[in-house]
Amino acid sequence: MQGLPILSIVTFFPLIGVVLLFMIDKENDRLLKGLTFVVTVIDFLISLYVLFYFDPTTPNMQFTEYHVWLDRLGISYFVGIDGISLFLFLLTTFLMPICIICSWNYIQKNVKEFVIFMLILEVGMLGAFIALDLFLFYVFWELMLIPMYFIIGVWGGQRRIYAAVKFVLYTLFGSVLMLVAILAFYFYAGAKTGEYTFNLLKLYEVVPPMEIQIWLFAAFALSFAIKVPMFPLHTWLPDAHVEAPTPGSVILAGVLLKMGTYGFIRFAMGLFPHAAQASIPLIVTLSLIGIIYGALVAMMQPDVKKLVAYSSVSHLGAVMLGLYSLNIQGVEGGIYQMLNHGLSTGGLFIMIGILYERRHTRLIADFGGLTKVIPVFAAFFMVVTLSSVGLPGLNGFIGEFLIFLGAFKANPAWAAIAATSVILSAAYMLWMFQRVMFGPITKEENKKIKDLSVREISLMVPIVLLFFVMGLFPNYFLNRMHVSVDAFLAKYKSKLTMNIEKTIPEHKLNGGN
Amino acid sequence: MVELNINFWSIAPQLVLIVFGFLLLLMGALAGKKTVGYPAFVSVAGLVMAVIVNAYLYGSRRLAFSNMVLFDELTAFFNFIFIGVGITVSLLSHNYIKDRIKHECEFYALILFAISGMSFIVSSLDFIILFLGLELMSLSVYVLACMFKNDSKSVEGSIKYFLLGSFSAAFLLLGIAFLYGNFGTTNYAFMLQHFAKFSGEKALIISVASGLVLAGIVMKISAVPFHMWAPDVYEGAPTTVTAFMATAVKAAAFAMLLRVYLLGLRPLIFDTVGVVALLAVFTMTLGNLSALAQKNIKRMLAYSSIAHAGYLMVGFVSLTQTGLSAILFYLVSYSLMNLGAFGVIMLFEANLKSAELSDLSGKGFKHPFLGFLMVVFMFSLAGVPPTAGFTGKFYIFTSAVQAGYISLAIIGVINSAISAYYYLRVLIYLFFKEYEGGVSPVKIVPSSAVAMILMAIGVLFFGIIPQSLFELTVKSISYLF
Repeated sequence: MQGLPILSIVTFFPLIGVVLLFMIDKENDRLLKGLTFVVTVIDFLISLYVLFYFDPTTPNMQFTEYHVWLDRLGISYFVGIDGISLFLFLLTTFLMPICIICSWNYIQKNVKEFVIFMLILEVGMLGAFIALDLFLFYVFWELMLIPMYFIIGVWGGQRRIYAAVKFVLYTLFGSVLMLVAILAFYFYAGAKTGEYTFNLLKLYEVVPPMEIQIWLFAAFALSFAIKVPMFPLHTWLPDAHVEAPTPGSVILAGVLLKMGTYGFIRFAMGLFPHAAQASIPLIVTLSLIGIIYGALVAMMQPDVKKLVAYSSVSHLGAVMLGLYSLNIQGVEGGIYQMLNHGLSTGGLFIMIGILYERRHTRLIADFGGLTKVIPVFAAFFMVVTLSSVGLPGLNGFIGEFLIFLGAFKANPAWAAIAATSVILSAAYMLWMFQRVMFGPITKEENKKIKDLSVREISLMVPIVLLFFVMGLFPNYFLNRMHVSVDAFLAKYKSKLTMNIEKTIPEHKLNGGN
Repeated sequence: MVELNINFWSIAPQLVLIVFGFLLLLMGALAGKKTVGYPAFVSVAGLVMAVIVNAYLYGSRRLAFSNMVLFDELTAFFNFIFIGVGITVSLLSHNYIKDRIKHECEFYALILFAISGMSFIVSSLDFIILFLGLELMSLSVYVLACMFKNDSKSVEGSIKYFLLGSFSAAFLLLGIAFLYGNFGTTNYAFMLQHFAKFSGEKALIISVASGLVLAGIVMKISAVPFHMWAPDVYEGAPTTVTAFMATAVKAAAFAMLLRVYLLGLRPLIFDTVGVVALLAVFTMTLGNLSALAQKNIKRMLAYSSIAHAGYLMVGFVSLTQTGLSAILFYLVSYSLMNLGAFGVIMLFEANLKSAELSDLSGKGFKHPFLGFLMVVFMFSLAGVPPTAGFTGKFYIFTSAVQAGYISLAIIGVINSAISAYYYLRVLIYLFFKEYEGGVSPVKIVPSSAVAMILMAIGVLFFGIIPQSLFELTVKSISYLF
């Protein structure tokens, strides 16, 4: 299908914005932000085309585009979308305009550079979700690093430099090893099939023997586990989240972390099922530790933003558990929970950012009794908190429920352990909410906080609406995932039962032609 | 005996450069104490003419002067690198040296002579020509390095360079002498014939000779264990000269490696790659780890250039078509990004003696043009897509994996991740630190602006569409396969 290159249009449309921004005067902040907002909104509207014309009955990649890029090495510009990546793609285009709006007051210096980096970041994220060529994926994957590095480093808080460097180095170490694994797999597959290609769909057909798979999987999994982040590789996350400016945190939590879990399902598990199967004890254990550890640490945080950061560790642990349940409920729950987490944690960061803009502090101890002063804020904050906790009727519930269902089917013990997170997350979120919003007003400054402005309300309304839509009509979303997830699982299982050769001659691995 | 076969076309680019070099010397002599208008542009004119001649000759193969000189695609390709670097350095130097160096004309003349020396190195088919080219290049660069006569660091660096350079030349000569003693010839082609006669084991003396030759080459590459001169020389020399040394001289050294070990000493190549692989590991690691600790940008880039020499050696170790073409590709991208980086530093140096990292604090937003360029060059040096630095490294590590050196590739990519730390530190100072005032960069004149924009475009272009250049590199080394 080589019709309208809609995916490329959506992905590269922000670059048009970048070109226009270069021509606008540096001082004209409102115009710069306004134009960026318009560009991201148009991009979101175009991306809806993908949703409306998405065919939920086929497991194949849709809207595919294929162009030879470097033919000597079998590298192509090959993009496409299926039920697994569809909503992650849309989540990205949806969150971008919101981020621009929430930077309206927050970002005051070097606005031009900021919005340019945001748009380049959008290109990188969208590209990574649709890339079906390992080389292309790697390029987009790394491309995201550059703008995020600057967003944290320039517009971040006190310890921004430390956080930015830590973020980049962690990510880079993982991804360079993945590059070697990509190359090794490329030469292995080339030697075996005679066709040297980075085309993901063709590489899916190649099943290397276990002793090779395990190394390749390890390199991929390490890279993605850092991004997720899985315990014990999560230490960059609290720093990056806390130091990043609000829009940066929203993108980081909303989209970048999903890159890791998406990478697992699309690449690490899809390409190396035997190794993935063998890694279940390890990954599930780490996920369970992450779920509980993240929640416990979150409970003890004096800083609201750090609390939310650690809650991400917990939530993403649950996503990984869902994916590793390897049944339809678990995987769909995992994907659904990625979206939920993107929305609810994004929303939480926005709310915290709004508080911070008013009080210039994020310590729970500095607040208290805000409900009386800012009732509208309190209402929104409540909804977002409950979504994050997983209240039935809101989106979070569906995701968590499916994950536990899937985990229970796979192994009831997992579900039992993971279910404690429901209690824990209710505890830390609601306790935080209580300390911040209820009780007597202890601080004089808190009496004069302004309530939400129209801009801020308009920012939150779409997110809250989606909470309800996703909580009440999950089938609309799940129907679009079913076929792809089914196909993924069927392929995964059929590969597992395949009899892979145990040994291959050494020279074949080394790519001797 | 072979016939003399005089064919000036085979050395036409060098001849053009030498003619223009003498022209510049003459201009300097005639002008006496007065300043000559625009010697940089005379130099650029000469280089452009050499490029035209080189492009005209491209594709032909000429063997001349008793089979001592070979002009082929590889020669032409390297000539393009050398001359391109020369043009950029001339454009950048124009404003930089105007008020600092009295003998402007001689400066450019030396650059032209050095380039013709490099060109002789790459077109050599005989150790004698190789050595002549090497000396022509080295002597010119020794003088260039101490062009700031009143700056003790510049002079110190130059003397160090001269002494160590002479040592390595002595090693090389001794190696050549041993080879001559064994084979009775210095010509690569004849040597190969002699090798064919010994089908049994090789004499120890030949291995020793090969080791000595390799030592001489390694010193010019500035690889471990002969890398010690680089930081001092790079720091002391005028910044544009440093850029010249880091790019063109290094490229010439790799040309030497390719010519000697893929032609004359080809039967010894499998003994050599083991050594080179080991050296590559140490070179990458030591270069990167030392660069982490540097506060002076030029010193940092000196160690970074050592590390990059290590990556390039990985390409050589793999000995595949991809690997050898990757060396050429990487040399081009490495030259682009390094010239660009040194160009930006040169402008920031302004009236400072030498650029410390802290001098850059907060200047990125104050001078967005230079800041933006530095972002491109630093990310390229760190090997992040979509830049030429990434595609270059990608080709190199691809070849290493292809040839089965997976551990070498892993060491390489981990090194590349380490290197990100210090390249990004430059950007930390430029963008993340607060502006502290201090000296602003000298006015950006059109010549240097054009040069640097071209470098940045090149870095991005070859990062996104590397195909055409890579095909060219494959063609250039095709004679080997």
